[in-house]
Amino acid sequence: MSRRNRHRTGRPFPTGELDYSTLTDQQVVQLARDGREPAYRELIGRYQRPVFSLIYRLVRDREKAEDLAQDTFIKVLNAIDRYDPQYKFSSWIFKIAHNTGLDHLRRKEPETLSLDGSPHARTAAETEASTITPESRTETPEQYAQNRELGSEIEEAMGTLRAEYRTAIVLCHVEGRAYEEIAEIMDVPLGTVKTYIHRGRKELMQRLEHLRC
Amino acid sequence: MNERYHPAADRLEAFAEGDLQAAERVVLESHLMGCPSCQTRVEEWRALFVTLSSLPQFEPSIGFASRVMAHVRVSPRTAWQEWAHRANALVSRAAPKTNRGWSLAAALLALPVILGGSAIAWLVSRSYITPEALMGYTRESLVEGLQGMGSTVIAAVMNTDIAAWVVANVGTLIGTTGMTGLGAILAGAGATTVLSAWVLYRNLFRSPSRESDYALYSF
Repeated sequence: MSRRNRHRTGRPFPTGELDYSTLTDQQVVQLARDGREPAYRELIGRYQRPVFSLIYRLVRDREKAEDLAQDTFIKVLNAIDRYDPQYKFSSWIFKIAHNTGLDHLRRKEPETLSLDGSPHARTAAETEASTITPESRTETPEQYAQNRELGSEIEEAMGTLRAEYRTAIVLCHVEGRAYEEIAEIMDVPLGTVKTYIHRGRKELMQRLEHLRC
Repeated sequence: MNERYHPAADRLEAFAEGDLQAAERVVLESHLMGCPSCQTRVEEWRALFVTLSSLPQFEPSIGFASRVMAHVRVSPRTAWQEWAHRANALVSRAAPKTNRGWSLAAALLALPVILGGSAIAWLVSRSYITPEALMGYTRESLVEGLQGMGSTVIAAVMNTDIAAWVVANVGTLIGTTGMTGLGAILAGAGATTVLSAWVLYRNLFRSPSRESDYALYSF
């Protein structure tokens, strides 16, 4: 038996069929490093929903969120050798997911579009490029499903928050992560996380005020 | 707390979240008993928390895992990669984690350079000390110091009873068994050194308080 198949406490990993669901993230990562494909699939299975949900709520576009979540997993799994076990695996993957989502939002930062074209447009081509053409209001099945998913009052309100507030609130309330872990994921001081969450909640309260009696 | 003076909104939020110290919580509870408007605010915060925590997780489309795996390289890590990773982890653990830590480390590193540089500058500024004379003096002092230290250590070790016993017995052993005995002694000393280094490494870098982090790095 290879020495890496032996747990520190002396208990070896069985060489046959393993029940990956009973292992900790750290153990599954170690098996992935040993080249076991089911360990990679186990990590995807564990984190595909939380990672996809976080990115989906950030970018609010299902197709784009799938692409970005896929990029996140590819980055993480191809760099599994560089993962530092002194940090939680969940923190690492959420950090990459958050950064991937933010990078996309920054890249996408649009020049203002309007029905009449951008006021900064200098040529006819630029005017045309920055003009919105109203399209049919008929929803495709994908748009319909997406609007249902993110269409509730609370999701609509979440969509208006700054991306950082959204991430902090999703990690805190949906994923149940501690403030310290959120600080590690977002790479900001603990006080900043508390501020993000407080301001985000306050804005949500204001946006949902009309629902109160 | 007087009813005219309502607690700040963030205090009510912290109360609803259960994030207040006991003393502050008691004061706020007594205020809430007589203040329906603050009670309403607390209930609103609680309702928001419940709503947020009931938000669902979304599922990516079918085949997501396979699409990811199509771009992932699955291969066992080589021994060289394993050691490189450990060296990297060791360096990142030793490196300061905060700006204050980096400042302190930089100050500690700079201190001897500044002190030494100042001393050299002062010495060279004296008219009766030339840089060549200073270098020669430093070299001689270092050599003398090291020689003195070495002979002191050797004399101290050789004057102990254990050293006298080892010399007497090793001499006898080599006399009776020849080169085989010498080889055995060297092998024993080598093994002891390696074992000592390993024990030192485990105690310095793999302390029990961090065992969980290293659960899979077993030997």
